[in-house]
Formats: sequence, structure tokens, C-alpha cells
Amino acid sequence: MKKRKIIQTSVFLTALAVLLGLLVFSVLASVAFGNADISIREVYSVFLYEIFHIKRFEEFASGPVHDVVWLIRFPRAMLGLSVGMGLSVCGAVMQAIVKNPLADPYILGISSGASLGATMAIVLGVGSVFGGHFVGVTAFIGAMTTSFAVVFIANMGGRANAAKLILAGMAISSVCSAMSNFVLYLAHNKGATEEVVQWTMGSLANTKWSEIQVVLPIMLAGTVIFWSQFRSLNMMLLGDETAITLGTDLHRVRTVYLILSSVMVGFAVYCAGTIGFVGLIVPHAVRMISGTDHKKLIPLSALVGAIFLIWADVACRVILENSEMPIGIFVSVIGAPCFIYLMVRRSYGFGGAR
Amino acid sequence: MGTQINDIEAKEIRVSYGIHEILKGVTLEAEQKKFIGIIGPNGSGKTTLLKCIYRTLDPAQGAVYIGGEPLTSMKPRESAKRLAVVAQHNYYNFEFSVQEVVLMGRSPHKKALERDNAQDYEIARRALQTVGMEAFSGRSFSTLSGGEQQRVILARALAQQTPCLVLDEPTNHLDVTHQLQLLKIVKNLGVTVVSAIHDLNIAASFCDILYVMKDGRIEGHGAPAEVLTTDFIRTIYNVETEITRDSRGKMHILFLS
Amino acid sequence: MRKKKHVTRVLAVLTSASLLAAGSMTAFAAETTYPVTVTTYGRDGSELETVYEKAPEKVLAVYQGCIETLLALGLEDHIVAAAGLDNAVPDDQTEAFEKLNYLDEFTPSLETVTMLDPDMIFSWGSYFGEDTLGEASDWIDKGVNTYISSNTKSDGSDRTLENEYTDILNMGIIFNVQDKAEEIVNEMKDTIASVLEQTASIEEKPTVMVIEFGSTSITNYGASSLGGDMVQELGGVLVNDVYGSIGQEDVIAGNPDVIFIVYMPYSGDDPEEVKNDRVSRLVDEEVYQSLNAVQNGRVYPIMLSEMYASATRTQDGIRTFAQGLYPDLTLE
Repeated sequence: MKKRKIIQTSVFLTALAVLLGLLVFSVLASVAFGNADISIREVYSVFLYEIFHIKRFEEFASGPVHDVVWLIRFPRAMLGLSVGMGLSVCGAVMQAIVKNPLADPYILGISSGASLGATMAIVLGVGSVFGGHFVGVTAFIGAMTTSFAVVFIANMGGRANAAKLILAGMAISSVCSAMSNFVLYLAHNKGATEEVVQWTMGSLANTKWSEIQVVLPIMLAGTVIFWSQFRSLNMMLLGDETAITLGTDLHRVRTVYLILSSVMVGFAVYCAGTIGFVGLIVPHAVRMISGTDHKKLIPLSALVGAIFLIWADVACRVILENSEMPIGIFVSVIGAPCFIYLMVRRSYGFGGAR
Repeated sequence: MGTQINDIEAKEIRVSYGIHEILKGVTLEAEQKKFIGIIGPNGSGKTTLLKCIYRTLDPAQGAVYIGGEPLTSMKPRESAKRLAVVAQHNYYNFEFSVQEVVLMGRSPHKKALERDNAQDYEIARRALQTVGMEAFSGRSFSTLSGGEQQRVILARALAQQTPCLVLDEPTNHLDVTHQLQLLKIVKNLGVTVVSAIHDLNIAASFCDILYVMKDGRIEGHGAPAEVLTTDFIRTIYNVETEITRDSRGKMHILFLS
Repeated sequence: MRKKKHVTRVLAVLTSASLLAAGSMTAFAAETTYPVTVTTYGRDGSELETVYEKAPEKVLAVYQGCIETLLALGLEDHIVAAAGLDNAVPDDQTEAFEKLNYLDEFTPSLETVTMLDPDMIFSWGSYFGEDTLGEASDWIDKGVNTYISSNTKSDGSDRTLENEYTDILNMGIIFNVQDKAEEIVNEMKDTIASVLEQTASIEEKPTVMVIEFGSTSITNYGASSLGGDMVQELGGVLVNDVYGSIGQEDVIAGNPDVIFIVYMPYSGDDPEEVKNDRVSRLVDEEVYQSLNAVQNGRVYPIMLSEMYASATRTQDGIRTFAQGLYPDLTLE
């Protein structure tokens, strides 16, 4: 038994190390892909200059090559990393909170709340005081408002439980989508309608370092915090009653988790719109291999999600020549068949049987 | 003799769902290392009483004491170190390995960020050994049969290393072999046990003290031989019985229809 | 090759309007002989034949270009109602516009349209749908002629300057005002000819991108867009043919001499504010500072309605593009 434990632990640690290496590789490699014709040597010269300020590479300190590599591709890869990590972790957490393997980070109506915010911003110009990225800011506010409303409603008339959360999320979702459709309908503004549609398809494009500086630390911190909560997350799957008998009152931690994941998803929405399926499918896939234990599930999901989104974005950049595909579409196109495969291959459940 | 750590006491417990009073002032005492059985017809309030004892229900009135301390004054972590539970329903919509399930029994003993150490694994292993499930350690919990799952849940309760154990009809859905096997394990643990039991013969052969419930009240308590009389069973269950003893002096209740 | 294609298309559209062909070749204008058959399209691009027994008298005109075309042809008395203006009509049309029955509804509902009892509906393809004005073919079956701006079909076909000419000329035929229609089209053609003549000596024609910033995306107006076609007709060289969404990197990779930033003030917007905001999304962004167009100050705003199903505003678009492409140009 002891031996077994040691083997299990070392397999997990090895997996963690391999994925971490793969993540670093993915970030570096993804920067070499794009429509602009830039050689690998040039790409890494820019890196070397920006990171180590080596004099020899000074010619790469500015100019189009520098701008493409350092101001477009690299922040994009980092955003893919942050958002992929955040959504996957929040997906795993939401699935635990509502004890439902079909949950995704948007289950509390966050995506429709965000869409409503974005629609109001695009169509009515709400929130334009927030400056250039006001659509994202308003979407963030919409996301946070809805998720708090859902948590609040689910707590009315007694403690929140999984079913109440899901139902409240659905109710708020439909209200929000109805309202955004109404706004769009009233506006009769084709340009705006198109923009809203594009926004809801998600995109990692047009990312700035200033955004990465906010989003990356939030996603990293959130991931570490949730990782540290593996015991409570495991307990959640056993249910509130069993958890009490095992010494954990889930009520309070659940609210804290909901708020933390809302913040994480809110920021993901702010930077990248709503990218579906990642948060649903990555935890599922990881669970098949690692099992349900959140001690392994959280960090592995974070890494796999980050790697997945980085490469999904690369695919979006290179599939169409001289053009880009919305990442939301691409992820759904790959995600849905994968999901069906996982569903059919296993007797339906929480995955991870050995 | 003063109060011991493994005493469970429920005093004047009242619970209502809406206008229906489920428990109408129930008092129960479980002294140390005794096997206390609760019997009674369906809907008599057995499970509700047990839920008050294991803290998933707050009684409207009355209080539960473990080792003389009121439950409400304890943190859940503290009560989980004193009292472990094997409840009726253990169907989970997920896949944990047997070992992971049992290790969860260690959580009341763990600080927030503490990992399971070698000692925890050893405790889990011994718990599984006690219930005879050691070989299943790496299996997925959900692939086990009902009886095996119930034994794993018992192992999880054992891993909590508590002086008290609450069982809510633990042998429901188990065949005779597994019913007897599980109760024998519990009986030999040397801890205070409070258990709701459906089968009167099983109750008679394993329990030291029986509490009989009907309509949210305790109708009587005492040693099985004192409580389980033909007359009393008729008042409680409204059935005719004949009570015999076998060659080894063991009680048997025969139901006459 | 490209030219030839346009010519055949025009001929196809005008099969039954041979009079016009004669008219445009000779100096004097032709009269329309009714009944006249005009080919238009369904929203999906399918060809529809419409027969006009006389000049329509109760036209419903929906959206900017359709209203402005009719007003430019002096047809305000033929309009039963108008709807869907994002921006005010040009100053010289204000007086005529004030006589119109302008509806509150931006997109009139099927019910409103039915009550108006029009004999012709002139709008964009996208407005002919079940939940908007109603299907074009249904109206034709009911005896109400429809006409869809040729560059607003949703069949993915190329959007061309030639289509804009055709629409204006077809209106000339339908309402028997061919001389005025030709005058408008010829002015556009003359402007282009004059630009090409003045710039004939420039061997390396400027490279160009026409882009529009959305909230998260960038739209490139490539060769198959009207804006792209206009640029090419004026001698500009498009560096990216894609008509659709592109990335920041594609702009930098393109690095053209001239960048036109498309902006569109919708009803309620302040045009100056929208224009400045869209331009600043290029010139004030760190990412784009290496672009030649940014460094040389060759970034020009152009309003969407001058280069997207632009009808009579096409003339403004031609001038805006020409002046951006060739800053030394003198246009009358």
C-alpha cells in the first residue's frame, strides 16, 4: 500500500512536471505561428532581447517584427494560458459545487449576464466612460451581477443547494438573454448585432500586456487557492450531509468558491468574451486519467486547459489564410465531438474509473 | 461514574416539518461502548432522530450531547472527531477510488492545507482490512456492489477513529450474509454504537439496549428480551408474533400472519 | 477579365431594357416604354423578374441609400413612406425629405407595410425577411414590385461599383427618369476616369487596406467588397484580399502605404466622436506604430455608408478614396 502510494504520487508529480514543460513549450512555440511571415530565428531574437536585453539583438527592439512577436503574439499566448487555466479550474469547481458533471463555468448565468453587459455596451454605449475596453468592463459587471444574483436567489428561503443553484442560474440566464435580445431588437442596428454576435464567439485577439498583468495573477492565485481547497471540493461531491459528518460545513465555503470563481470567469469574459466548452470538457478529460480527487484534478486541469487554449488559438490563426477564426467557434467544433466521445465511451458519470 | 467521551445523549428532541411534528420530545442515552438499537415502524422518526444526532438536522427544541458537551457548541470538525456515520444512502454520481473514499475519513483530523501522510494511509489500510475490503483499495467505488460500498463507507467511518458510531439502517439492501458480516464488524469495534435497525431478529441478536419508536415518541427501551414481547410488538407494529429461543438461548421472533 | 464580368452582368440585368443600352451610348437620354421588365433579386441572391406597367406611385423606401437614390432622382412625390435612416440625408435633399412620410419604425413591420399599400418596395436584401418587411417573392406574387440594392444580396457574390451603377440606372428605367440616372452615374465614372488620368504616370500605385475596428475584431474590406472594388477601380492595390475578419497581425503583415479606417455613426451617435474613436484605435495603439501608413500619416477615415451599398453616396466614397490614395490629386 505504501509503495502504491509512492508510485501514485510520483506518477502525478511526473505528469505535473511534463505538463508544465509542455506549457512552457506551447507558449514559446505558439509565438512562432501566425500570418505575418517571420522566421523562428527572428521570433526568438525578439524574446531574447525583451527578456535579457542582450545588446546583440538590439535590432529587434522595435519595428514590425518586434511588434508582432512581443505586442501581439506573446500577450495572446499568455491570455490563452490565463483564460484556459481559469476556465478549466472554474469548470472543475462548478462541477463539484453543483455535483453535476454537466456544469461549466457559465452555469450560474455568467455568460448570458456578460452578453447582456456587452450588448448594452455595444448597442447603447453603456459604460463608455470606462474607456477603450468598455465593452469588456461592462461585460465583467454583467457577469458579476448575475452570478451574485444567482447565489443570492439560491440562498433565499433556506440554504443554497446544487439544484437551487442550477435552477436560479437558468432563470437568470433566460432573463438576461431575453433582455439582450430585446435591446438588440429595439436597436435595429445591424452593425451592433454583428458585433455582439462576434463578441459572444470569444476572441483572444487584441490583447495588451496591461490586461495580462491583471488577468494572469488572478487566474494563478485562483488556481492555487482552489488547489489548496481540494478536501472541501472532494467533500462537495459527497453532499452536504456526508460532509458535515466528516467535519466540514460546506455552506460557507461554497459561497466563497462561487464568488472566487465568478471573479475568475468574469475576468476571462472581460478579456476574451465567452469561450464555451473549455471549462466543461477539460476537467472531464483530466478526470478520466487522474480520477476525481481534486488534489490532482485542479492542477492538471489548469495546465491542460492552458495548453489546450493556446493551441486552439494557434489553430484559429492559421486555419484561414490572411484571416482569423473566432476561437469560440473552433473550440465548440472540436469540443462537442470530444464530449460526445467521452460520453459514449464511458458509462455516463463523473468519469475517472480505473 | 462521570460522563465519558463516548457517551451520546439526546434530550427532549423536537423536530417539525411544517405543521407535522416528526419528533415529539425524544430522549435517548447511549452509554459507553454499548450497542444501542432503534427500532420502530416506517415513519416513526428513527432517521430524523439519527440526523439530529449526526448534525445534519437542527432540532427545534432539545439538544444532543456527546461526551457531555452540547453538539451546538462544537465545530463540525470537532464533532466529526467524536462521531462517525454510516448513513442509508450512499449513491454518488462520481468516481472516487475506494482508497480515496476511505481517506476522506481522515479529513476531520487534517488542517486545511495538510496532505495525507503515511500514517493516514496506514489507518485507511487497516480500516479496509477490518471490513475485509483491503483488496479493493484501488477499485472505483461506483463499480462495487451495494454490500461492498456499505463496507467501504464503514471503513471510512472507522478511519475517522471516533469513540462513537451512528448507523442508519446500515443493512438495508444487503443480503443476509452481508448484514450479519457488517454488524459483527461493528459489534467488535469496541465503540459506542447507535443504530437504526429494521429487522427485529437482527436487532435482538446484536443490540445491548433497544429503543422503540412510534409516531415520533419513544415507546419503550431496555434490553431486547425485556422490550421484545408479543404484546409490545403488537402495540407497535400491529402484528402477531411468537417469540421462541433456540438451543443456544438466542431469541427468535416469528411473525404469524 | 474583371471588367468583362461586370459587363456581362449588367447586360444580364438589363436584358429587357435595351433602350437603356442605346441611351448610354448616345448622348441623349431614352424614354422608358412600359411595360418594362427589371431583374432584381431575392434576399438569397435568386433572380426575380419584375414587370412595371407604369412608374410606381406608392414606393416604400427603407434604408439610407434607397431613400437617397429616389430623392436624388427627384422622385419624392412617388414615395408613400420612408424608414430607416441612420444619418440625415445630404443637405441638398433636406427640403424634399421633409415632404416624406417618414415612419417611426426603423424597420416597418409586415403589418405597417401592408397598411401602406405600396406598389413598390425598395430596400436592402436584409430587410426582406419574414419578421421584417416580408419576403420579396411573396410581395411580387401579391403584385407589389420589390427592388433590392444589388450589393446587399446575401449570396456571397462580389459587391461591385458596377452594381451600384446598375441600381441607379434601373431606378431611372423604372421611373422613366433615365437622363437624371445617367447623369449621376456618369459623374461617378468621370471622377474615376479623371483620377486614373491624373495618376497615369505613377508607376507604383499605393498599396491599401480598408479596415473596420469592431469591439473585438477587425473587418478587412477585401476585393469582393464594394470598398475594395472602389479602391481597385481607382488604381489602388489591396494587400489583403480577404473580405472578413482578420487579426492585428494581419494588419502589420499587410503594412500598406495607405489605410482607410471605416467608421459608421448609427442613429443617435455623434459622427465626429465615432470617427475619432475608430481612427485612434489604429494610430494611438502601440502595436501599430511600425506601420508605414501610421508613420507617414496616411491613415484616413471613410464612412461606411460611402462604401457599403452606398447608392448615391458612392460618389463621396470615390472622392474620399481618391484623395487618400493620391494626396496631390485635384478634384473639381
